Amino acid sequence: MLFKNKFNAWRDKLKESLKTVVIIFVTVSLTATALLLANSFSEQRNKNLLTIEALKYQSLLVRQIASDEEQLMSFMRALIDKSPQAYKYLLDQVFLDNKRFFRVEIRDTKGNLLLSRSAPGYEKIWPVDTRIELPPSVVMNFFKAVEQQKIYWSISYSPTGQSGVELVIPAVSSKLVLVAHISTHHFLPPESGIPIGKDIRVEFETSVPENLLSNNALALPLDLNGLNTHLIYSLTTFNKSVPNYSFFLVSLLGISLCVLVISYSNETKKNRLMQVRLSEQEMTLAKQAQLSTLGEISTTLAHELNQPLATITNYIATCEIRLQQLGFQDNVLNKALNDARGQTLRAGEVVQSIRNYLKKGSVVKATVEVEEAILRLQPIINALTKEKRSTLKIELTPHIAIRIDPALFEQIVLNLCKNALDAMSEIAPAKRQLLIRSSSDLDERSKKWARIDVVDNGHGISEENSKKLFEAFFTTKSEGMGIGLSLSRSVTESHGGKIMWANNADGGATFSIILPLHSTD
Amino acid sequence: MQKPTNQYPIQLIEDDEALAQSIMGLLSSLQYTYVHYRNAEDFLDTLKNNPEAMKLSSCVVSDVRLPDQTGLDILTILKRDYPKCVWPIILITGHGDIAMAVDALHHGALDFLTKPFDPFILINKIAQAVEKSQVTKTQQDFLLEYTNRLTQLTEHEKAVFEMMMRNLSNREIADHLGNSTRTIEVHRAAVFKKMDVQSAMQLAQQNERYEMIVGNITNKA
Repeated sequence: MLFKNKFNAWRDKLKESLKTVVIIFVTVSLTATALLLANSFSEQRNKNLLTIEALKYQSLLVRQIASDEEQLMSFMRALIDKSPQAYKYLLDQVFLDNKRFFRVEIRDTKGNLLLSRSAPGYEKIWPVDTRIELPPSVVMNFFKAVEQQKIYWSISYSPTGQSGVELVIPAVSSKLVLVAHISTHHFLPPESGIPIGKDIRVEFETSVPENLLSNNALALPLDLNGLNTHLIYSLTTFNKSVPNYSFFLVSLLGISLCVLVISYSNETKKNRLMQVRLSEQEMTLAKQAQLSTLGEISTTLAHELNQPLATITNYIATCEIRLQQLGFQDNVLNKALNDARGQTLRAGEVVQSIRNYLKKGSVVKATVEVEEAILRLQPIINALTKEKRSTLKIELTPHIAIRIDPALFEQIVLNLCKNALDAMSEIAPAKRQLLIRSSSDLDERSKKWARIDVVDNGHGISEENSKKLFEAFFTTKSEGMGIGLSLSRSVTESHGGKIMWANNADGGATFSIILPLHSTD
Repeated sequence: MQKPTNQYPIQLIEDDEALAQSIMGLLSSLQYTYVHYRNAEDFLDTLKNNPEAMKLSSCVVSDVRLPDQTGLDILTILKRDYPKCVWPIILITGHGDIAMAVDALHHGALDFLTKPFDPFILINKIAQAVEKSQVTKTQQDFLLEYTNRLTQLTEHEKAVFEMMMRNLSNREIADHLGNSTRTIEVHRAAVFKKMDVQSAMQLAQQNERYEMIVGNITNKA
C-alpha cells in the first residue's frame, strides 16, 4: 500500500517533469523556427531594400548616361560645320563640362588622332605617346560606330593595367569621331551624383561574379551599346546597418513564452502540493470532527457523572455532620470520610479537565510542585503497579515547580505510567520495573526546564509505531482510545512544553514531560 | 455547627432525584426545613399562590439545567416579577463554564457552584443566603414601617421633621417657619410620638438607616 503510494507519487513526479521538458522543448523549437523565419524575413527585407535602391539608382544612371550621350551627340553635331580652329575650343568645353573624363580625343574616321585633351595626371594612367593609336580593344567598336553612325562603348586596358571605358561618338555625316576615355567611377556613387542608400556599395563589373547570391548582392546589367557590363550592388554592413527589430521581438517573445511555460509548470506543481496539503488538512479536520463529537459525548458524560459525584459528596458530608452531631469521635472514620469526599471532588475535576481539553477551552493554570503532585498520585500508581505485578521506583528532585492545570498534569503522568505498565506486560513480572524521575534542566539557551521521566523496561517503541505515536486515535491496544499521548502532547504544548521519548539502550522506553520551570521566588 | 434560624423552608429546585435527596439529607441533618421542586414551573406556581412567603427569610437553591427552564430564567423572573422577594439564589450546575458563572452573578445570583461541589461550601452559602435574606427582610420591614409613619405626619410636622434632620435648633426652626418656639416644641413632640422615638438622636439614627437602605436600593438599580 505504502509502496504503491510511493510509486504513484514517483510516477506523477516523472509525468510532471516529462511534461515540463516536452513543453520547454516545443517552446524552444517554436522560438528557433520563429527566429529563423525572422532572420530570413529580415534578409528578405534587406534584399528588397537593396533591389529597390539598386533599381532606382540604375534607372537614374541609365537616364543620366542617355542624357550624356545626347549631349555629346549634339556637341558632335555642332562640330560639323566648324573650322578646325573651333575644335579646340569646343573640345575644351566638353572637357570642362565632363570633369570625370580622363581624356577626350578627336579622331578622323580612320582613327588618326587629330586633337586631344587629358586630365592632369593622365600620364600616370596612360602615357600619351602610347595613346596615339587607338587602344586595340576599342578599334572594333570604333569602326562599328563610324559605319553605323551610332555611339559605341568599349573597355580599354591601359599599359599600366587600369581598365576604363571608352566612349566612341561619331559626328554624324562628318569625318570626325570623338573618343572619350572615362573612369569607371563615372558610373558609381558618389562621382555619378546619384543618391543611393549609404550602406550600399556599387561596383562596375564586366562579368557577374559567381558568389553573388550568397553575398546579399544584386547584379543589374548596364545596357551600353557594344559593351556588356553589370553594376553590382551589395550591402556593406548588413547586420549592423539594419537594426533587426523582428529578431529582438521574436527572441523576447520566445523568452517570455519559456518563462511563462516554466512558471506555469511550477504553478501546477504548487497546486499539486497544495492539494496534498489540503487532503492532509481534511484528514485533520475529520479527526477534529471526531474530537468535537468526543467533546459532545464528554459534555453529556460530564453531566451524567457529575450528578452522582455530587450526590456522593453530599452523602459523605451528611455522614460527617451526623457523626459530629452524635459526638462520635473516630479519627479513622473521620479521615476516611474526608478523603472519600476529596477523591470524589478530584474525580469531578478530572472529568471537567478532559471536557475542557476536548472543548479546547481554557485550562486552569496553577503552580504545581512536581514532587508534591507525584507523591499525591503515588497511591494510585502503586495500585496500578501492583495490579500489573510490577515494582515502582520514584526518584524525585525537590523544589521543582511548573505552571499547569493540576488535574491535567496528574492525568498526563498517570497516562504515561499506564502506557509504561502496558508495555511491560510481555516480560517476566520479576523484571518489570516502572521508574518515575523528576529533575530540572538547562537548555543551550540557559532556559530552565522541569523534566519528568517515566521509564519502563518493556518492549520499547517500534520504528513503524514511532511515527504515529502522538496521532489522535492511534493505538496499539485493543481497548485503547488512542487519545492518551495525543492529549498529553497537546496539553504540554499548550503549556509551552513538550513530550519527548526515546528507546532505552537496555530495553524499554523513556517518556519525558518537559515543561518550563516556574521559579517560585 | 451553628443552628440555622430560617423561618421559611429552603426552596430546592433540582430535577435529579438522587442529588435532590442527598441535598435534602444534608439540609435535614442541619435542621433546615426545605421544599423540593422537580422543575421551574412547580416552583413558580407555588410562589404565585403564596407571594407573601417571599417576604420571609429563606433562600433558593436551583440547578441551572432544569427540564423546562434554566436556573437563570428563574433568577430573571424573580427579579422582574417579585421585587419584594428577599430570597437570594444559589445556582448549581452540572458543567460550569466561566461565562455562565459571570452571567449568573451579573443577574444577581448569590453564588454559582459546579457539581461536584464541596457540600460544606454549599452549607456555608446557604447559611450566608439565609442571613442575607433576614437582613433584607428586616430592612424591608423597617422601610415599610418607616414610610408608613412618615405619611402620618401633617404638613407642618413634616417641615419641622425635615429641619430637625438638618440639625437646626428649635429656635432656628421657629424663625424659619415664623412660629413661636413653643409651637415648634409641640410639633416636635407630635413627630416623636408618630415616629415612635424617644429622642432626636433616635430619630436621626432611624432616618440615617432609612437613607442608607434607600441609597443601597437605588445604587443597585
